[in-house]
Amino acid sequence: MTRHEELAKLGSHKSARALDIFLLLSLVGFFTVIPHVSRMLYMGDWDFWVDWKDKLWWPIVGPSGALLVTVVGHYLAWQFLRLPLGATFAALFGLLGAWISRVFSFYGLEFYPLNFVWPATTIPMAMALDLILFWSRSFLVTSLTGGFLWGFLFYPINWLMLMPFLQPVTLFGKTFTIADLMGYYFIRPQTPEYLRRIDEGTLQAFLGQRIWISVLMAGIACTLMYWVGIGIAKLLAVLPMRKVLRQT
Amino acid sequence: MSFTDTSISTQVDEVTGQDASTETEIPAMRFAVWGASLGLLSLVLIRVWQGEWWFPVGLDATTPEFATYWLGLLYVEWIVLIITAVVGFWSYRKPCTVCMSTREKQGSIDPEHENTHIAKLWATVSVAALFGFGVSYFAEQDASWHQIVVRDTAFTPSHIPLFFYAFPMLLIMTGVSSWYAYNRLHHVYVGENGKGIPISYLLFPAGGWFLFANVAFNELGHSSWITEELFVQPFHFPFAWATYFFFSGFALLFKTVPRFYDNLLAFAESKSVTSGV
Repeated sequence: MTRHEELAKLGSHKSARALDIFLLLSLVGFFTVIPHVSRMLYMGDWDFWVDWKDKLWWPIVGPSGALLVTVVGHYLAWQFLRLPLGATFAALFGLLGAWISRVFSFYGLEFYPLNFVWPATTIPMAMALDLILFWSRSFLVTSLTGGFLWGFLFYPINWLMLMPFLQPVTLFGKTFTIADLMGYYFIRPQTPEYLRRIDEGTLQAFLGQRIWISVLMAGIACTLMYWVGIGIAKLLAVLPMRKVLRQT
Repeated sequence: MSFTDTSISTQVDEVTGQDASTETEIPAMRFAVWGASLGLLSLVLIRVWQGEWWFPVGLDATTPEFATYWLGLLYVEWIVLIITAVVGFWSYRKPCTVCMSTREKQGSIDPEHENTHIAKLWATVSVAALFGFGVSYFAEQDASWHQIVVRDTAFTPSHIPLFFYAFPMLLIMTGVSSWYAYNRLHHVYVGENGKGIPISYLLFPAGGWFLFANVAFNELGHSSWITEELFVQPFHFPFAWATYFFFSGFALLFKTVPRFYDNLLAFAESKSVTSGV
């Protein structure tokens, strides 16, 4: 029996199964808290509210913030386990954490309707990121293509969910999107501040082209953010494996 | 070389705790089941409490009802935290006696016994991860709360479970994990007679510590600058940076899991040699 076969047989033993359960629970817990906390603090209000899902900042801030820690799982799973699943795993559990919060807090405690507080998804881009790494076996190629696609596809993919809330509605002689109208009915402390901010800026002048400028910028930002994520992985997960603080 | 199912079943019993005759501490599986069950129960009970008293007595911190229901919850949480910290750190304050005796006799730890410690380490990490899940939930809940109520105290109904229970509990459990690893699996990083503290043992609880420490900065920020309530405020970012320290758990993972399989293989080989297979 080869060593590989021996290890494979050992992996099916109950002791290894018990360890698998502990590892799985640990990974699920920490891959919920890390991506979800990053998501809520970087994407934050853009992810919480449907009326914040604009064409200027949300397509840039959303994917950039979400990619940062997703890449850590992506890098470690591939580098040490040769599993092209790390980004998908992180994106899946980050989103799960967000959904649990929206259902049991935003809806369950404060009674905001769920279609006002749904979180954006990053799972399709995470799958693309993992697949590109699997095919290319190169972090450089993946950063240039997968990283770019992560930012570029964020808005189009989430537009499927956002589209119904962008329909126009007229009330008291004013025309709003449905998302804005919902925002006026569900007053939050930051709403007027944000509306003032988003109505400024020369990107408004680009009209229909504005979203393409934003998603292009998002793609570039995510290409760079990919390497920041790999840097975090190397600094906090890889480097400590070899380092020991000497006692005097 | 091959190994029999009998050899494995002995190993299984050691790890899962069914045969704890040589083990003086709580077995890994029992620790994980009890720890995760009690931890989950505490989080669910807090959420049920919030559902009952969130709006009725949670809006005004100056009322006596607020002190009864919410500060009462806070004091109960503190008692639970103190008990958990004392029991956790006290239980694993000394190196394992079995390890010490086998090291004296053989010069190294029995691989089969070392695996029980690796399994136990990951049982403690999995309980810590449960409180990570609690941090994830209560942190975003805090965002939702501050959208409807402008804060009048640092002890809001959303802060009490988050800042004063989930954060410190995550710090305690990651600290207990590292404390356990330092006292039982020190040699995995530094060798049998090596000295020093593995950096990953420090970084892992550092995430919990930075989360808790940033509460002070956060409250200072909110009391100094009127920022009610933009959740993407830059002074919230250190909470996200603190969670990055938990990636050092991978440094534990990639050191201990290969060691676990090496031990399993060594144990299986020794069994096959002694049984003449």
